[in-house]
Amino acid sequence: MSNFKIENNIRTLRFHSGEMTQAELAKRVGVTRQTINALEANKYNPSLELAFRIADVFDVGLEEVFTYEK
Amino acid sequence: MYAWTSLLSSISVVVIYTVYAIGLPENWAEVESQLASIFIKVFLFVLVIEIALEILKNKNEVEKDERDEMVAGKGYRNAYHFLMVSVVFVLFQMIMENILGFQSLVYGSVSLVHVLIYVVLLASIINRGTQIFFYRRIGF
Repeated sequence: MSNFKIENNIRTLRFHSGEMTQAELAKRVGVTRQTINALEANKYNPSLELAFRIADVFDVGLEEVFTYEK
Repeated sequence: MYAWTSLLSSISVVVIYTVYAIGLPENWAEVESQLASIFIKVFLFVLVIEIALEILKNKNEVEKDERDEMVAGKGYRNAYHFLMVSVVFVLFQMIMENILGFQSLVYGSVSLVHVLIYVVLLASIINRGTQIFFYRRIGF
């Protein structure tokens, strides 16, 4: 299980969404800015609900935000 | 930051309680004013930090989310494990003392009270320490 890693494209998606700030994204998904920072640094794996909320903000599918890699 | 101030408060309470529990040293008159001064400084430092955090807090931001709850949960879990192991250990010592006549580390009702208070204070330190550890690991 530890051989797999969840990575994400949140930073890129923020950039393509009018350079949205971490604080703005945090507010829209209902978490703290520190949590968005931890997510982007791959230090924290979000709950399924939060993952869907983030994907919803960028109006993309879950697999475009998060990838499950070896 | 709240975890740090809480940890600092718990440690200062442990130190002050240790002085109370062990007894006052012979040169207490000299130590007393220094200790009181340190305690007041720690208390004021914690108070100022807490007030500053409240003022600086952005009212539009979310205060607590799933990550904070996860970290808090890990802190409570570790503190609970320590508390349970310690209580079982103290009870085991008491049983050994009463049944086998074995002179335990926890001797007499006064010592027992001290030990239990220490256990609670240490559990509090473990709780905050664990939270700080995980916050540092997964980022603030």
